[in-house]
Amino acid sequence: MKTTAAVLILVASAVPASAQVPATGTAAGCPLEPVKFHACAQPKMKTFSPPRTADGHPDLNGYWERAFTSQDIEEHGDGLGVQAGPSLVIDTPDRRIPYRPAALELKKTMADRFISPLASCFPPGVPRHAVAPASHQILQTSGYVVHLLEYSHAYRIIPTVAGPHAPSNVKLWQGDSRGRWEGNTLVVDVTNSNGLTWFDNAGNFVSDAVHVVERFTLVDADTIHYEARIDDPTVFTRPWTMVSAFRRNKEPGYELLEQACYEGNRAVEGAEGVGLKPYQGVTGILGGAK
Amino acid sequence: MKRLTTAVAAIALLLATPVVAHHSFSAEFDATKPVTLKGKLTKMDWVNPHGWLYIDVAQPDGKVVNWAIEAGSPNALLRRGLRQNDFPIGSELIIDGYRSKSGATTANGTSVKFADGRNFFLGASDAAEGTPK
Repeated sequence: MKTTAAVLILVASAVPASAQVPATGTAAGCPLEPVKFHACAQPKMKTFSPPRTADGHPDLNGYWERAFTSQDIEEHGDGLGVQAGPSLVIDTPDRRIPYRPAALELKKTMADRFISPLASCFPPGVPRHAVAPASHQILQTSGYVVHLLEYSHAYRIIPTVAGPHAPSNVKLWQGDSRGRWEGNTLVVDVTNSNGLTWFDNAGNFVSDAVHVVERFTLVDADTIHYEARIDDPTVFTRPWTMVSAFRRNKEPGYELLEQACYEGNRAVEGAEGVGLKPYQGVTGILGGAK
Repeated sequence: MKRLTTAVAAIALLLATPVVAHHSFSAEFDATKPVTLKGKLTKMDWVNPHGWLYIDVAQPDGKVVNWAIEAGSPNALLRRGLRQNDFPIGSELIIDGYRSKSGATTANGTSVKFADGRNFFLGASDAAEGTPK
């Protein structure tokens, strides 16, 4: 009996996983493929009247699941530990990240030379936070939006009242976020990143000069359109935009669980065993790339 | 019979579900070196960010070697209905996975089969964990 129960639970969890192959899913009546989702969501975002918090802003509170994983934000096929998925880049002609030539050369071998920062249990940084593993929770209070991630207990506290960024000599794993409401959209300006985070496990990277502007907008009560505009002249030839989505997790009694990431982390040991090095960013490596 | 059908369907689905984890498996494990390990469970580490199973495997020459097999995150296993006591020490297991590129007796597990026929998907499928309900 116990065996049957266990098997049934496994069936229950396995079926949605198969159904969640990113390129074929839908949210808010839109296909999740990022270019299509972006186009489809725009008119809905303009006409949808979102639920609001007591202070009148769109209510993003709740548990959310990312539409895409952070295995590789460019188009990729199935591989060991990797599920095929479309490019999240929506505004370059070939849907590729517009790397400068020297940066592109670096990227080609990045994941074979360095340990993915997330594997070391470091915070994901922005925008990876939006596609990083496990469940997400958004908590809103007057003047703040808090975005919690189960993985590695990573969090972002985003003030939504006017104020300056941290001084430029302050460098942070998660960057310094300043938010504001533009109509029904939460716009977050992110600076002060330390340049030690990747977009994904494929080694797509930024420098500490990166400037990200994110936009969180409810498309319907259970879907957030997520957009991040990335500007980093050290690494990229032009600013570019990635799009993903969050879908509401409505499971009764759901909660984030403790995830003391480092407690048994042998991934670092294993990676070092095959010759990978701790990632130390591109400062000094891409000096001539500008 | 219905139970058997369900179990077979579940196993088929589980094996078809890609493994997705927080780090790059391909950097550390060799997709061209699948391995099937049969032996007794000596330890289960129910730890973050990935659980680990350790089994004693008898080699053809009779020498017993302890293998370490990376499994899913405890929270992912928990949400799939598994508990730490589902892995009693001494259990006879058959584990499928991929060998480490380092040549160490380490593998990334994809599925585990118990002597009583129970099959579990081992991979750190954060896609499964992150499915809206």
